[in-house]
Amino acid sequence: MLTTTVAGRTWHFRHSIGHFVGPQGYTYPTPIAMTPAGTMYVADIGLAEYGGGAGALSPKILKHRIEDEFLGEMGVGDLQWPEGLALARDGTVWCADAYHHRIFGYDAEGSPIGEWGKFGTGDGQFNRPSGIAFDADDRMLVVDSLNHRVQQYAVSGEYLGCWGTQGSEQGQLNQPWGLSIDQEGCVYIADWGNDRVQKFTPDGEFVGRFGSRYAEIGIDDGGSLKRPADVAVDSDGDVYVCDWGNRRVQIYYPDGDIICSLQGDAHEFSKAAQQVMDVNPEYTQAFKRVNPVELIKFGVFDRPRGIAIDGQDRIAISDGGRGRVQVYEKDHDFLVPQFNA
Amino acid sequence: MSDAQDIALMAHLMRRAGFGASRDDLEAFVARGYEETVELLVDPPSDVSRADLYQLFRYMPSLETGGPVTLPGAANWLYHLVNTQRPLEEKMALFWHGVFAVGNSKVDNDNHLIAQIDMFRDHGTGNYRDLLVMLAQNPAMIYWLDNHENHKRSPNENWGRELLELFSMGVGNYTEKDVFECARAFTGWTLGPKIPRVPNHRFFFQFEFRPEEHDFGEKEFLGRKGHFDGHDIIEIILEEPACPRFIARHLYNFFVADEAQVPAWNIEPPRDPDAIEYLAGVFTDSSFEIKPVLRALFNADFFKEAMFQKVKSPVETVVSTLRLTEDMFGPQLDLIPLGQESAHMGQSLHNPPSVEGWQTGRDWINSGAVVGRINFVADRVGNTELPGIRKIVQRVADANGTSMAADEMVDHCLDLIGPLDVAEATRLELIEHASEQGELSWSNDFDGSSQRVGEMLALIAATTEYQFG
Repeated sequence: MLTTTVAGRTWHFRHSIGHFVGPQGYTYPTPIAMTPAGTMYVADIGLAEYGGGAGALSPKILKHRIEDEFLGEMGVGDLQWPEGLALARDGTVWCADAYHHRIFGYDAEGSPIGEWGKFGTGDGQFNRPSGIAFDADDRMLVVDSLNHRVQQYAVSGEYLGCWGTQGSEQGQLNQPWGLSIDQEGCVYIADWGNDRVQKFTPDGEFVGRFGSRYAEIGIDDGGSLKRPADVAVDSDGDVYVCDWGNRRVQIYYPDGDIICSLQGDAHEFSKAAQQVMDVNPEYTQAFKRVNPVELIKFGVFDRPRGIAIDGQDRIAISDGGRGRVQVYEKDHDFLVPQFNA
Repeated sequence: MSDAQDIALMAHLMRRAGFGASRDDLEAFVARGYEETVELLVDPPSDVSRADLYQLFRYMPSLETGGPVTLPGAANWLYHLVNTQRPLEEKMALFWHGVFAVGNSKVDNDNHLIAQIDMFRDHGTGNYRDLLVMLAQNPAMIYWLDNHENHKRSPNENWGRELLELFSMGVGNYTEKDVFECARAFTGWTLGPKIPRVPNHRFFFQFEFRPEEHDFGEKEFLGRKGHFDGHDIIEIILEEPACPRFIARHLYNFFVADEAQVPAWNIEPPRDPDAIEYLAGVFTDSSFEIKPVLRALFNADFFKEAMFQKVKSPVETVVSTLRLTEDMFGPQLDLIPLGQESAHMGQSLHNPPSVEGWQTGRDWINSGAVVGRINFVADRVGNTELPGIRKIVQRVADANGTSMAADEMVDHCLDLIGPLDVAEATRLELIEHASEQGELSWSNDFDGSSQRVGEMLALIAATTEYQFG
């Protein structure tokens, strides 16, 4: 088992799910949402630019158990650029589509239950909606990316308000992408164009930042971000960021200091990938010819795009360029490191 | 020089060193001055940016990774071509793609074509010596010309032959023995096995030097003897006068005026031998740095006097139209079909027809290609909803705010889409057509007048003269 142990914390790589293109496979998996019990919904942008449609390459949402059991798919024919995904407390599934400037809703089995939104800059209008999440009061927060703000809605689609302005100053946003809400209701936003994650109160007051904390004073603590895509918070308050531009996942202490990076560990085939290999022996032979140093590249992330954490701190990361999801689990029995006085 | 001549010369420079420019930009460049504009093109400061690929890959991730066909790769490059603020960099990438022609039809891994074009973008205005070494070690080129099959005990001459014939000196400047010895020197320059594309998408070949495959024996190449390897071969090639002349002729053909097709160069003399000698001299004197040659070329009289001496390539046609009309500046679904438009006109990005690249000049024009080319341009320049065309319409309207005679409208359109000189007979035909609806009345019917301007621009796009750049 592959583990990463830093500062008394340990992350175990468990397995990967899916393969690139094909039945039960992903093409370009994007955001993930997950129930506390580990039912996982993964949006897949597919090859939308080639026309979408209803084939294996169409944009859609795939439903899996985190243990790697395929449960079905939804959203085929509706979606084009699925950029955000969230689960409501009642189990309904909500997807923000940046191409249509629209929110699509489905029940847990995939039947459509509603949609709203149109292009614009006004209240209740979107310019490329991206990350979405529900707060404790069942309000939906939607990142309105090219309007550089966060909008709040009722599940019915009723507009409740918005906050955020465009810029690079503290608290401002530049083409934000994913977002997450922690147990205290604080909002974490992947501030894509500013290479950082920002933390806000539920009302949009700036609280703190993650990524290159000390860059302004010339110190590289290894915590930098390049075009972060998504963010999630575990039960200990540690913050995980899909560092999309740097092809890794950064993990931070709640105060913003870097803990470590996950580079990707999917060196074994997923169940679905193994099935593909079993019927393609020539590719198995080709794998055997690759030298071990080169083979390391197989397991690493290629544009990690979405992240979600379940109630057991199992972490699912969509590995965009590799057509799979990598699953980690955090060991809870960690010790706070000895203070070095 | 009059203002109109300044604009015409600047438009010529921007068509050749880039993909055209709006009238606003041309006026700004004229104000900056010709030589300074050349400098800006040849050696742009770091804050003059390329296209923002993060924007593209965020919404269209397949355009980063390529595939078995060239659809994503061509769209990726089109996005660069249309959005860059460093057009000469892209133009040089296109130049090298035509000279060092590699096609995905064989490579079957378009991610490698994307990477190769990235290499041309990064180093295409750098040093030719370095570029040749990078090319010899480039996985797409190695696979394309079979150098992974070039073994000590059974040399494969494909790469060695094309290095001499098409990439550096041209036919007539080496012998068959030189080809064989060249191939021997590159034995063992090969590819490591790569992770297969199934089941988790494409990985990259890596260049690998395998000593056990390399022929370390003595070679005799272009009159020199030694235990040469690939680096030595490239150094020897650069010592041959044929090499800078060959590249200079390519540059002349690409940037100045159409030459004979490359296979005829050993029997057809250059169109302007003095220009070739001049450029070759600059190239040699600068130790094969490319920027000094480009600087010399664009500032030379033979360049300034060569307006409309070249048939626009399909890629130039498509990109200049999209930039003129401001029709495409972000990630959008029609990037994929737009990336194939030049292919419909005879120039498929990432898929030149052979290692000789494309036949240029009048060979771009045939009955099928010309219809496709004219329809593509006319559909767009005639669309007065497009931002770039709206600006042209506004300029025509601003020239005379109330009414305008048909001939005046035609002349404004010819000026603003070029400036373009057409034969007098062509001009009279355009005026005759425009006169059928009488004078334009901007004050009473702006929309109707706009439509007539759009229609005139579309007609101009169909003229013979417009096919030249």
